[in-house]
Amino acid sequence: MTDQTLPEARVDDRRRISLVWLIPLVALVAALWLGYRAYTEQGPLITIRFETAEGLEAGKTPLRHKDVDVGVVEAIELSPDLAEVWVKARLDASLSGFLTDRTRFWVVRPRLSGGQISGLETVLGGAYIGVDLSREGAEVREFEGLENPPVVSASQPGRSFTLEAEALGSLSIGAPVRFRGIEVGRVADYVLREPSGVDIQVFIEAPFDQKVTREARFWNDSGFQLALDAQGVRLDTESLTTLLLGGISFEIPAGGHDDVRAEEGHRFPLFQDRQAALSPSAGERQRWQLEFAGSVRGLLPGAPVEFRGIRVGEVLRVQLELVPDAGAVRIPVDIALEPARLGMPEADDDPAHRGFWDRLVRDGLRAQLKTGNLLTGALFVDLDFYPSESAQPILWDATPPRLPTVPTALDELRGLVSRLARLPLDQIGQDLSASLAALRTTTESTNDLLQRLDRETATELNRTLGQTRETLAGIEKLLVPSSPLQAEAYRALREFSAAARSFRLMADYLERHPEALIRGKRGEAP
Amino acid sequence: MTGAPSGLTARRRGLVACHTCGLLSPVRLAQFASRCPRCASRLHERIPRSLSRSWAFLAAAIILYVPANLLPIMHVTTFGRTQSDTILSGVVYLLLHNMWPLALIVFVASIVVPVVKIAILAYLLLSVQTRSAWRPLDRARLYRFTEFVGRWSMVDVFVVTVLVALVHLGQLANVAAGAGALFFAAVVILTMLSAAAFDPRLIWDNLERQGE
Repeated sequence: MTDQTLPEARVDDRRRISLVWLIPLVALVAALWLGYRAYTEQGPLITIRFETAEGLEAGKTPLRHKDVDVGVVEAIELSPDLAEVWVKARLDASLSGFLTDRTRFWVVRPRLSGGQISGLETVLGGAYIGVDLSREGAEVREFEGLENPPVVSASQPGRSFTLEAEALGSLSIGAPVRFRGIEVGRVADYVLREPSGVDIQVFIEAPFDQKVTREARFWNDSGFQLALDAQGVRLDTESLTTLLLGGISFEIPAGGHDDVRAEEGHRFPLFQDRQAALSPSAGERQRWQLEFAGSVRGLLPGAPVEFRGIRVGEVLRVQLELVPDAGAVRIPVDIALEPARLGMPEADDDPAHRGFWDRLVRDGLRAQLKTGNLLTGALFVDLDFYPSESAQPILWDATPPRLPTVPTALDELRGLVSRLARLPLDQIGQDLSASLAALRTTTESTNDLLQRLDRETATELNRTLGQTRETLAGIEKLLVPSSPLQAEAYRALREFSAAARSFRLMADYLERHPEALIRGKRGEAP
Repeated sequence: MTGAPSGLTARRRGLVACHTCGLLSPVRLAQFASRCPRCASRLHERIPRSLSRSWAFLAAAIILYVPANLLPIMHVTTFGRTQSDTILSGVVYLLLHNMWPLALIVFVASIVVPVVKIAILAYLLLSVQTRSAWRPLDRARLYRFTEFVGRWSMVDVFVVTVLVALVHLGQLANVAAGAGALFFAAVVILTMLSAAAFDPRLIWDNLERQGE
């Protein structure tokens, strides 16, 4: 090849813009689309205030609703006054409608609460923020984080009710609510009620909430109840959980006729125990007043009123009352009788009812204080018939009407002692000493009689004794060994002995030689 | 470079070297789509539209490099807790756990290499376009370095693929590839394509023109 003079053709790109530029175009579109999607899918940024950020990590810690990731913590910062931690979290865009003032946030860590261990998975997986989303309420973006997981999630079907209690007792949030022993709900919250008492919020899960009628009776079966009263020692426990956490049970009393389901938020009283809850309500009680003469130490409100050992009511109150007119002090004891337990007519103002009670009292029905428990000295009111008691009417004018009483057994003893004190002991003593003087003169005359007897009979007795001794000496002489009688007897016995020996010899010989009886004794010696 | 025999290029002699078998053959300029008489590869004295194509691939690589670094490349689930890591957060994670040699490897392979590669290619392309005659031999060496190092930035993608295939322990541990891995692989492939599209002989062509 050699140099050519031919012009060198210029080879240019046919198109200024080549198809290969489609590649960066596609890349650009893809990147832009990704960015756009990331921007539009970016959910709301919320701030949750917590006391501590323990276990939380910016960019890592997820937010979970029903264990489904719904967002992630983006930043954790301290509040300006360092009092709390502000956790900024980004939630999924689809959830923006659920961020209302009823949405709750809490940190899930391993914890022992509500009788169960929860959050164990976070030991390995790390803590996360639990979310309970709620559509109801006003939309907000700032939230107060809960320190403990809420007992009831907003989406859980069921109803909550309010129980009015005197005090919280050993109940705690998360304590179980049972119906016939089945756990059907939980204690959700409690607040102080003004002016006194505590309102306890319970949540009953569906479908058990249908069981709560307006007649439902709730009682506290927390821990164990050791009752030491007039009825002795009673130990009630429900389950180990309630022992630790406390618990509430409810039941529908038998024979209830109001089976209307209680509406949400219905208020119920919370009874102290099952017995109180299921006993007939206060409306069916009859109030009576008793007045006892003696001390009422050991009689407490709530002590039973019994009729021959069967509980028919209880003591409502014991109080001291000053009667200014009479200048006296009395202790009226108000009791409530449950006529249903007595099988009595119910109506209060019914003349038949009055007549019935009047007849009972005329027959001797009286109230008496009795010791129910020797250990504690607790008293109870006993109703019984005392026909021998003097007639006393029911004071229907008093409010409540007053039943006649008889003194306590102890009071009777006191009466006896005072009667003893009235005895004329001095006179009895004088009489007694007079009697003793008379007794002494009697003794002296007896003494004289005895001395005379001694003098006259003793000599005669002496003589008789001497004669007896002589007789005995004669007999003794006969029996000494040297007496002829003895010698004669001895010789006779010896003779008899020799005869016996020779007879034995003969018998021996005959045994060996029976023929000697016939042939005579042989001469030869063996 | 001054000592280079700049006047004697194959093109000047009307010769074209085959890219595949290296056979030098005369080419008739009118015949644009000529083929190598020995191995039938397509012959061209310079890679056609080299700069334009190289720029296109490089631009795509630069664009995709953004999501490749922003999106997670790997979702690691251990004990029910999912952790998503981007390349940079993975490096930070390794550093925080005192595994700095590993962190260094990942950092070099996944961040330094692609960035350096993109920078070198961009510089080469620019220098050719501005007809720079500055240190052509070093620039040729830079190009060779780029080609050589290109495959090593796939380490990251490779690790992800191996982990995804190996770690399938159900609840205990699980690894899933993230969208970032896809973009990162695209970046690496695009830079390699860009490097391949670039014709290093263009570096010398400038010199030739200046020598004229």
